[in-house]
Amino acid sequence: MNDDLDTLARQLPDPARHDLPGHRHQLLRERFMDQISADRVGESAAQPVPAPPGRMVRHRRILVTVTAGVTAVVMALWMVSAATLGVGRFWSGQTEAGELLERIALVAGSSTDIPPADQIRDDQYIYVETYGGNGGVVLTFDDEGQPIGDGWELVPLEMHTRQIWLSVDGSRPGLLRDTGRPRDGEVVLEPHGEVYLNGPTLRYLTTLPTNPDLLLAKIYLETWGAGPNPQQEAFVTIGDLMRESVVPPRLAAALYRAAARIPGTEVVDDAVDALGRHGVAIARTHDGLRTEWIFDRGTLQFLGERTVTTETPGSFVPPGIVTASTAVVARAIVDRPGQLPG
Amino acid sequence: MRARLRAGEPAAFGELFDQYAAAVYRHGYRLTGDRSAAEDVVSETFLQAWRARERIDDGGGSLQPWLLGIATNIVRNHLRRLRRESGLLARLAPGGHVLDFADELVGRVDDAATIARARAALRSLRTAEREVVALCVWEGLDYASAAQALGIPVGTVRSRLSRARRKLTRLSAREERDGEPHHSRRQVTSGRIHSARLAQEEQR
Repeated sequence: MNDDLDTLARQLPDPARHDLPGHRHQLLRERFMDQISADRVGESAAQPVPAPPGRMVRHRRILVTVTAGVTAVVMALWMVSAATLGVGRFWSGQTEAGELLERIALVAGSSTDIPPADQIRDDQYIYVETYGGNGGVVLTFDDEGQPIGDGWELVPLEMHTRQIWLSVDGSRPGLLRDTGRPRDGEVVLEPHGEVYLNGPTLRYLTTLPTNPDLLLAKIYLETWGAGPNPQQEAFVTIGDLMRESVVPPRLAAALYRAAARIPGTEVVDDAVDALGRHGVAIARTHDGLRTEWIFDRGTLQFLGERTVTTETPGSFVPPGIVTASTAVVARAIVDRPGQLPG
Repeated sequence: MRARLRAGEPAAFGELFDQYAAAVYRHGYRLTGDRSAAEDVVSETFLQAWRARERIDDGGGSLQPWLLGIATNIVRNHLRRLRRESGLLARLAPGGHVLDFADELVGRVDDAATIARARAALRSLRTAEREVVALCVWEGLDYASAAQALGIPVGTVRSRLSRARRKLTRLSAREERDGEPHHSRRQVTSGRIHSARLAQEEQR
């Protein structure tokens, strides 16, 4: 072990030989102390945290630069690769997953669980309650493929209940209650800043295209460069929207049809959500992990999402380990943060 | 100290700053290769520490791993932003942002070959490996503290260091053979580890 340290120290001389100069230290310190006192004055009883706040956001969006010149280049590149990404009708409805997604889209498109968008006021809130947890598997082997220990370590799921209230138009503070946070933390969430696919407001969602091809193009474009590859990123982005937001019915239908156009989706006959509810799943596997969207077999309602390890040649990790699982308990439109539906 | 910090006592944060600003600066500099970015890392780190003060527990031990952990996250975001701003090409090339410590090293090491070797070596490491090298090799943290800072198991710290060492050893073997530093672009061998780690990081 120490051998590693010694070798590395010899081969990699420490680049930081000079310290923070004294006058810079003083300057930065003064600025910090100023910020602290400004923060104390501005602080109300509850401490706002930055939005989009503590959400189960899986990944950061990488912004596609929207300066005019670059956009053209991005568009051109995107068109070139569109064929390989699988943007196209021929994927839809021709596979088992495509057929199931089409049935799910039909149900989602005519759902009346949530009032129509024009009957929802800007000063109202979406409410989503979920139950679940994230864990993980950490692989531990070296370059020669020699396992360290068992070759993997399990990070167990820590289950918790999350209730989130978010302003319909993003202009008002939201609220988060999460039993997984210290002291069952109730946290006031700052009003939405920038809205985008991974941090949407309900109002923003109503502006998205409901043509599946256009929608998928937008998803690919907006998530360009993020995640392990475009297809997986698009799939995960759609899953994120289904899990903790209120999606207007026509958009929900379009999202499922867009998912049907992503290569590599498959049907898993039996999957269990975080509440133990069994259902049928639409799944996509990437790098030894299968992400499953679980639906009620009868009503085709979205129940939840989970991630499971798969049988992978050369991997030490046994298949079937659940590394993340979330069940949707309730979704509603309410009048104020903290208000429960019904 | 911890209780005073948690209570939001400004004087306590002043002490915290005096005690650790230098270490946070060094860490920021090692990971970005940029002095002004390192200063930004200092400011951001202490501000975030202030905002997260309620999470400081009563446990003993140095607060340095905690602060360096915050700083590491800030650098990750900073590098991501750089990649974004430096345009599409950089985004398409994995690890598009190349650390360049040329000025620093020239000041100390007069052997051009050594400089070239050190730069090639740094470049061949993945971000995750560089973070562990910065904490354990350069800052001298023990494995447990580095694990705490990065929020990863101790075994992972060990395996990343070991991987970094093997990479560098291979690199120098190749140099001897080829007669010049080889800029390795292949970093896929540890792709699986990376994604499994991401699965774990989703919880944050």
